[in-house]
Amino acid sequence: MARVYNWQLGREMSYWYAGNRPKRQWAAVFDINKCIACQTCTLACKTTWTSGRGQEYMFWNNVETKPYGFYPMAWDVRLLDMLQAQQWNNGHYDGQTIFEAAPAGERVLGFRPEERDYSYPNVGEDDVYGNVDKGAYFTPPHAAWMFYLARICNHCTYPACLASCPRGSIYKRPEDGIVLIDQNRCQGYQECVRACPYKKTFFNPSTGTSEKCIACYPKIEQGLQPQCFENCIGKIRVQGWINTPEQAQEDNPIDYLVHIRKLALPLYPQYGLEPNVYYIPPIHTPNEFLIQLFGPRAPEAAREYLKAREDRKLSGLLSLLGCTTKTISYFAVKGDKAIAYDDQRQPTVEVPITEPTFIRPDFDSVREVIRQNTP
Amino acid sequence: MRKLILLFVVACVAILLIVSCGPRKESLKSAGQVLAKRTEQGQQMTNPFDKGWEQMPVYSAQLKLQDITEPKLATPGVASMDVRAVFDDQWLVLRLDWPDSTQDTIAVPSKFSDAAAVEFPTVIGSDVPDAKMGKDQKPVQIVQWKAVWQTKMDGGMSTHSLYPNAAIDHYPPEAAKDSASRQLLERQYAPAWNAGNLNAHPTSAAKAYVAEGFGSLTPVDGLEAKGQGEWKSGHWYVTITQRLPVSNASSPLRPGQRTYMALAAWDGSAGDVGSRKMRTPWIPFLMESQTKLATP
Repeated sequence: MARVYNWQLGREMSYWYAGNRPKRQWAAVFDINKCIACQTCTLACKTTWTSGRGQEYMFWNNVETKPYGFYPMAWDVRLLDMLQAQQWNNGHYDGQTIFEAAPAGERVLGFRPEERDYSYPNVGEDDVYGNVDKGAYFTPPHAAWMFYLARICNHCTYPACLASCPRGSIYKRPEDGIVLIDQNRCQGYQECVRACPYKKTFFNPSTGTSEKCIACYPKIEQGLQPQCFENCIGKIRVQGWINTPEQAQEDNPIDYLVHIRKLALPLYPQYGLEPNVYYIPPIHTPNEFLIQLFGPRAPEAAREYLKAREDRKLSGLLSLLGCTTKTISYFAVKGDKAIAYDDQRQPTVEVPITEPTFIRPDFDSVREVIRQNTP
Repeated sequence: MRKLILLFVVACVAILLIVSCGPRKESLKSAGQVLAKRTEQGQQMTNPFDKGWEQMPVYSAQLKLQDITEPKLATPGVASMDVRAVFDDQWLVLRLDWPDSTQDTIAVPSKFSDAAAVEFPTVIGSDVPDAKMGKDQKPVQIVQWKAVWQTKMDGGMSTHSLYPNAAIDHYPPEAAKDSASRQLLERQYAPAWNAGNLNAHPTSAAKAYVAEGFGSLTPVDGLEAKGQGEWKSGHWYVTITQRLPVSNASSPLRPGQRTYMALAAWDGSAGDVGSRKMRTPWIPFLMESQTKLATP
C-alpha cells in the first residue's frame, strides 16, 4: 500500500493507490440543524436517477434519524464495532483507518449488508434517545435528543469503493473529484458495497453491476447544484469546491466553513477516506455522540454555530444556503447582503442577511375586507 | 471355526477381484491431461447430460484457493472438478461437473451466483504465461459460465420473478407509446446495458474474455461462447462451448497441438465472486489428432 496524507486525520496513512488529488475537489456542506427530514431530497434523487429496474431499493440520497435510524440497517454501528475503539490525540488520529485495519487477504475492513438490511429505510424515524419522563417535555431543556442526518456519497479523496474494486472499475474524475463506477467495466462483484463504510454503493440485480450517486455531474458541468441540493426545502445544503487546508481561500464558501471557521466537519473521519460532504453538527446532541460521528472538533463547532448570528460574514454565508440553483464558487458579504458568485466571479444571487419583516394590517382597505388567519 | 474364517476371507478376495476386473468408470480416467475427443456431433453435446459424455475420458482436477491477490478467498470451497472435452470442426465443448450442495442461480445484494470458467493460453510453446490470469503482453483467453446469466436469459432475474409480492407503481419506460421507444427507454434506465455491458443483457450463459494479469479481464466480442448448466442432486453439470479458430497455425487450440488449460469455480453461497475463487494451475490439454503430435 502507498502512503498518502489525510488532513482530516492530521497524518499520513496507508492507501491502496498513491495520492493523486484532482484539479479541484467537489465538496458540500450540510447544516444538520436546519434539516426537517421532509425527504424531498430523497425523492428528487430517486425520481431523477433510480426509478429503473433493479434500483427499487436504492436511495443514493437518504435522510435518517440519529441515533436509531440506519439505511441500510446498522450501517455505521456495525463497522464501528469491527474497527473497535480508537483514539484521537489533539486533533491527530492515533487509531487505525479501515485501510490499515484490513484483515489479511482483504483491501479494506468492511462488510456487506444483507438484502433485508435495505428493507427498513425509515427505521428509527423520529425516535429520540432515552426515555422521556412524564411531563418532562413541558420543561426545556429536553434531555431527549435526536437529529436528522441527510446522506449522499461523500466523493471521498481516498474512496474505499475505488480501492476495493479488483477490476479498477471505479474512478475519480481528475477535473472535479467526483467518484464514478464505469458501467461498462463493472462485473458486479460487490466489493465496493462491502468496502464503502457509508454504504453508498448499491448492487443492481437487473443490470448485474453496482451503481452509486454521481453527484449529478451533468448539472455540475453546467455550473448547477445537484438535484438533492436544488430541491432541499430546509435549505440546508451548499455545494462548491474544497481546497486543502494550507490553500484555503477566505471567499470560498466551503473553505470558509470547513477550514477557516472549522464549523463543518466530515462524517466518520476516523475511517480514513477524507470524505467531502461536511456537516455543521447538531447543537443539542451529547458530545460523546458528536465526537464519534464528526471527530474531536464537533462540540466546539456546535458551540460556534450557536454564535453565528452575531457574526455578519458567517450568518451571511449561511443565509446563502439553498438560495440559488447555481454552484457557489465564491461569496462575499457587503452591508446587509450576502452575494454568491460563480466560477467566473459573476454574481448569481444576492440575499438579505436578515429577512425583512412585513406587517400586514388586518383590514385590506383596497378590497374593504378583513383578512385574518382564522375564520 | 478357522475353516469358516478362511472361507470368508477367500470369498471376500474373490469378490474384490471380480469387481476390480469388471467394467468401471475409472477405466475412462484421463491421466495427466485433459484429452478432447473428436466427434461429429460437437454441437449436440452442449447438453450436459448427453449420453455421449459417458464415453469421454474424464480428468479430475484439484482446485486450490486463490490466495495470491487481494481480495483473496479465505476458506476453501470447490475442491475438485471433473472435466471432459470434445470437439468438431467448429466447436470445442467442455463438460465440467463438480459437487456443490447449494444451487445459487441469482445475484442480488450480498448473494452471488455459482460459476465456472476455463482458461487457455493464447500462445504455443514454453512461453505460456502463468495460469493466474496471464500477464502483460501475454494474454490468456477465458470463457466463464455463470448460473445467473442463464437465469437472466430465462427471464428469472426480473423484479417480479425475484420478489413476487413486490408492489411497483410503474417503470418510466412503460410510458412509451411503441416498442421501439420503449426499448430505447429501457436501455436509458439501465446504465450498464446502455454502456454495452453484457452483464446487463447477456446473450449467452457464457462469455469470452481475455486477460493480461489480475484485474484485466476484458470481454471479447469476436469469440463466440455458449454455456449450459444444470444442478442435480448436489452437483453442477455444465457445458462450456467455444468456437474454434479457423485453421490458425499459431493457435494452441487445434488438433494435435499440446497446450494447457486451467479451471476455476465459484460457490455463490460461500460468497465466492471475482477473485474470491478456487482455481487450478495449468493442466496439459490435447485435442486428439490422427497425425503426429506437436510438442508444446
